[in-house]
Amino acid sequence: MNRINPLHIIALLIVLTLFIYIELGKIKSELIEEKKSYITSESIAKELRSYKQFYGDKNHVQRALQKILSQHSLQKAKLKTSYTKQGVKIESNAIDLYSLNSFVSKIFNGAYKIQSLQIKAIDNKNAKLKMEIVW
Amino acid sequence: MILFLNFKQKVKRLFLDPELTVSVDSKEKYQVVLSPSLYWIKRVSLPLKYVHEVKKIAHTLFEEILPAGNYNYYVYKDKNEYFIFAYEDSKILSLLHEKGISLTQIQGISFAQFALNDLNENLRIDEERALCVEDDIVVLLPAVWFKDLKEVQNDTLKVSQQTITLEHFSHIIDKKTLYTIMVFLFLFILLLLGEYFYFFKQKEQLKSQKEQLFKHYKLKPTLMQNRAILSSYKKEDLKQQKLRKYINYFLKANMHTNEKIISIEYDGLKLSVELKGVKKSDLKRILSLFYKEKIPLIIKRKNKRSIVEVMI
Repeated sequence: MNRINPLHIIALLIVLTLFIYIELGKIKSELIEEKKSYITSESIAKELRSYKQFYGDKNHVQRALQKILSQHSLQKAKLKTSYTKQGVKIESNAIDLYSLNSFVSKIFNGAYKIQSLQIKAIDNKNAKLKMEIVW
Repeated sequence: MILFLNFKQKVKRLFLDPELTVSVDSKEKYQVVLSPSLYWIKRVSLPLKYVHEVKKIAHTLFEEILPAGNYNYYVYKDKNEYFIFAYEDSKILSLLHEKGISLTQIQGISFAQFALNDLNENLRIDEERALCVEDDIVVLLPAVWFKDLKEVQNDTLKVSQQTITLEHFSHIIDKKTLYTIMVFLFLFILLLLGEYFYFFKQKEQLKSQKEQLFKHYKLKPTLMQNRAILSSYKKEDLKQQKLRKYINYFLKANMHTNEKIISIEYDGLKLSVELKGVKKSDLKRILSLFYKEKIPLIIKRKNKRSIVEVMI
């Protein structure tokens, strides 16, 4: 009577089937989670890259700012720039309203992180400007 | 020092017959010998070479002989002849249960044919029946036909190598169906395993793709860190957009020639705009865009000047 009963083998196979079936369910849900995680990571990565390119790229910001400052319309304004590790400070004790308008609109339309801003009218034609841009 | 000695347990023989009472010790192991009343036997010469071939056709050889029931067959080859046994597993199992013999106590089950085939004298098993060998086949005959019969002794029964294995559910489900189920289950398991490894591989591939994605975009090691960085970028972006929008609202304001903006100040948190020549009653007109969007404002009046503060 020591021979293995085929019913015992069937029972074992059923248990094994159930076990693998449960494990299969687990791995399926793990795969779905992994897919979700991949899609989320990809979208975060792309968003982060665009933000980094927009605000965090120091060289890009410097080059673009230099281009604005070297424009003919702003030459008269004699804007003083002082660069720090975190950003740049732009100052003018007397900037005419035309140049001020041109400069501010260019900065506002560009990807610059404005940390602080001070514009004070001196008279009807000139104003005082202080601006700090960070990266 | 304690010396452990292993004694080989002696297997007792037990003659099993529906009519006989047996005394069973639950600690003992038994070699069960089936009485001829528990099986049918046929000796045939067939043009077949192998036992398994005979086993396949065994049921046809007993057709119209056996009473209705679920029979199993055992075939034994002796020279050119085959001894074919037909027995009912369920009948033997229920008899063993009836006699109080547990299956774990059974070392083996054989037929009286093998245990008594070299019987030299007839043996009495009870008042009415005797075991005899007729034409090389062990049979039960009426005891009254013989004189001076010896009683059958369990210990004198020969232990045979020819044993059978009882099938518990053979009366419900036959062997072929059982094997079919087994094969089906086995194939199903293989299929499930295949699917499991396919998903496992996919998961691993996704993991490595994710690692490459992290490397390519130079992301922080955890998704949580990256989410936090992204959220700070979004916050800052929103702040910058707000600053530009609010300043634009002041610049676009419907102002008269005597009304002027004399200063704009932003410290990272708060935007303050100082207006000159604006009456308190005119502030609603100038700040209409803010009121339209219900943006909270703080308005201070100082020397006929208005200071409008808005949080960014």
